[in-house]
Amino acid sequence: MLPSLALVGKGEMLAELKQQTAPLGMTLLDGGGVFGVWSDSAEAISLHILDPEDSSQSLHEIPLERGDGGIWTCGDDRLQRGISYTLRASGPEGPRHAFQPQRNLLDPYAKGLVRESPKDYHCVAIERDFDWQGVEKPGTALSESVIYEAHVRGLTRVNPNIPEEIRGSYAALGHPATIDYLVKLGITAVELLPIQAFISEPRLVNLGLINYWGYNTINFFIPHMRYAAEATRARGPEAMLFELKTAIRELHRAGIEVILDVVYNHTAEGGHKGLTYSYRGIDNSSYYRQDDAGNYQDTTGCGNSLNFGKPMVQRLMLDSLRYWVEELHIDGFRFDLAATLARDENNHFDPNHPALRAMREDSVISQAKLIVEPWDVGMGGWQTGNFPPGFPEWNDRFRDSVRKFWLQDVANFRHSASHHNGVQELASRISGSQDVVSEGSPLGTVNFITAHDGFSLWDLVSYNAKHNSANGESNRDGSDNNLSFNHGHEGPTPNPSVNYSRRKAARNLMGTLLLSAGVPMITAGDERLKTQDGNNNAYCQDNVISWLNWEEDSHRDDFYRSVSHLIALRKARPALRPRTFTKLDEATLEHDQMLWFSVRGDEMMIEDWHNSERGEPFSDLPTTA
Amino acid sequence: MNDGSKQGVLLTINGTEAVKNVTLPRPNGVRGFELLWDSALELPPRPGLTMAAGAKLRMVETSMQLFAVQL
Repeated sequence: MLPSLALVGKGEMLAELKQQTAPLGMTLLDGGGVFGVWSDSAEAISLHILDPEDSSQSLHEIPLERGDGGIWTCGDDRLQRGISYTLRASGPEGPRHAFQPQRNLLDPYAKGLVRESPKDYHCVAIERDFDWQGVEKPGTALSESVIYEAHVRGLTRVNPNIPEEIRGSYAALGHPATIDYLVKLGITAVELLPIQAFISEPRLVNLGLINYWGYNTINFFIPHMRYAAEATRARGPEAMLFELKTAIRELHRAGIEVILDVVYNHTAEGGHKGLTYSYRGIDNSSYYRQDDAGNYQDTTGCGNSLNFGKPMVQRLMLDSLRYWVEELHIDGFRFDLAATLARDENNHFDPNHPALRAMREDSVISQAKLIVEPWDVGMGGWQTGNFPPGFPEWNDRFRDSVRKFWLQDVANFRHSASHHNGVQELASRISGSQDVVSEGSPLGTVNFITAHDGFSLWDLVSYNAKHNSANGESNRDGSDNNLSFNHGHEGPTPNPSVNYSRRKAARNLMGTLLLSAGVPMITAGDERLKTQDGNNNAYCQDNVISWLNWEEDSHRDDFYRSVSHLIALRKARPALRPRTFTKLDEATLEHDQMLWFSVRGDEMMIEDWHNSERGEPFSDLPTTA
Repeated sequence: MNDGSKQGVLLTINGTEAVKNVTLPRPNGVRGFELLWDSALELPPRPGLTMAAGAKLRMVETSMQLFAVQL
């Protein structure tokens, strides 16, 4: 917790700052401020206050003093609200180090950021006052949650019910038209694709594309600037923070939680040939996981991996999480490639990793929903079912099983006249994936059919293969394992029979998602049968391929009503969202009886579970006890 | 669920590409089932469509239905 700044002077604060537990970054006080940054390897670090008339010029250089554990600090009257600043660091040479003494570096704990060019940014010291107007967080129980994964820009970019000048912005996210749409749909939380400040990879920029999804973070505390409305951006970082807080407050006022997709597994600095913005220039050998020769050990596929074997790297994540919860009232997080966050000093996944324990034990962070993508791309990275209790997992087994049942098996039947799977696998997914999750309850599984990464729901029932040529990689990128089915024609068709089959398949998929035990997650746009024209990797498509289509269409409108109806049924019927696992044929204090019936109306026999006829009903019935 | 609601549900699934005639179950104490949702329909069904326990249900190909259990 930050001390009361009005009561603590610079000297006292500085003394505290030199301890490893004191707040890092810029802390503004009456009559100046104090600053701290961690670098175990640097030999000298200085803070540069930039000329407000020409931010390429350093106006004042303030040397930092090294304290315990590599905490570098300074206190100075010139550290004032609104100043622009950067860091410069020097240190030893060697394969594990990458100091560039003349390079301006971002403060890893900066709260304000200004982009000067694609290669150059500087920090801004800001105040963060905001009136929450007494609006509390909704505090929705996980068992009641229906999550809606959305992209801030794509959600509203072409919504005609929102003023054009704010479409695609934080302001549009919190606009009454957006909130009304979400409330009527019935979802309880929006899960925003990354909104921590990110940049586009040079490779994409050279292709004339951008990183649309945002899994390329440059700073873990600052909201992405491009998502603020244009007029807000012109007013600077404080105004941008204000706009985002306003959106969060208005969503909360409507009872909708805000969950952030956070990307702590790597940074935008990329591999060895990547540009240096911050961490690499401050302490390459500490922030990034390397071998003795200085080669990055990349478990993210993005060129680098932050080294969560280091306590101060863990702290960077924990401080960031705490900031978003306390300062921006965020309700939860979805950790991208979370296996990387739980790799120990030997780069092995550890379900008892200190970073995971710290999150669960932290009085602030533990109050948030902590959802994990339970894998990364490194050795031993597939960890679905292996995260400890308290970390609900994206359940890829649910996704794949449900797709196989409703799509791939049906497609196979048309070719081979036999189904490959009975209902046993589907029954396990519907009843909460007890065979997958470690939580001990269905609340350990976040069920989904689609996510931002992959086919949209409509494309899943309309395409057999990906169509990613717009991404500039000759259709090589994106998964070829989609478990999709085009129902007899690849892509759009005027054939009403094919289109009806597709819509029914989409309802089967969405129905299975919303009627299953576990926490359902819908991808924005699927409730209106959004298409991405068969692109299953639209990470670089900031255009109509990715944006929600708001044009009126009777089938899309009907589908929205069906999804809304299913969510309402889920909310009204506790049997559809159990908090504990039911037991087959057994009523307990926690459960009513779950019974399974065959097509004949009698209870399922062993042979029925493996019956490829696949026509079995089942029920979850109340006991009379 | 033991929350006192006694709001049991019946989910029927036809995973084949053929129409299926299904016999609805007849557990003790269950009178019938009210249709809440049918994936074969473009829109949610109107309320009040009920079937008796043990009745025959015709399910269109690759479809699912949700019923409320009537005690």
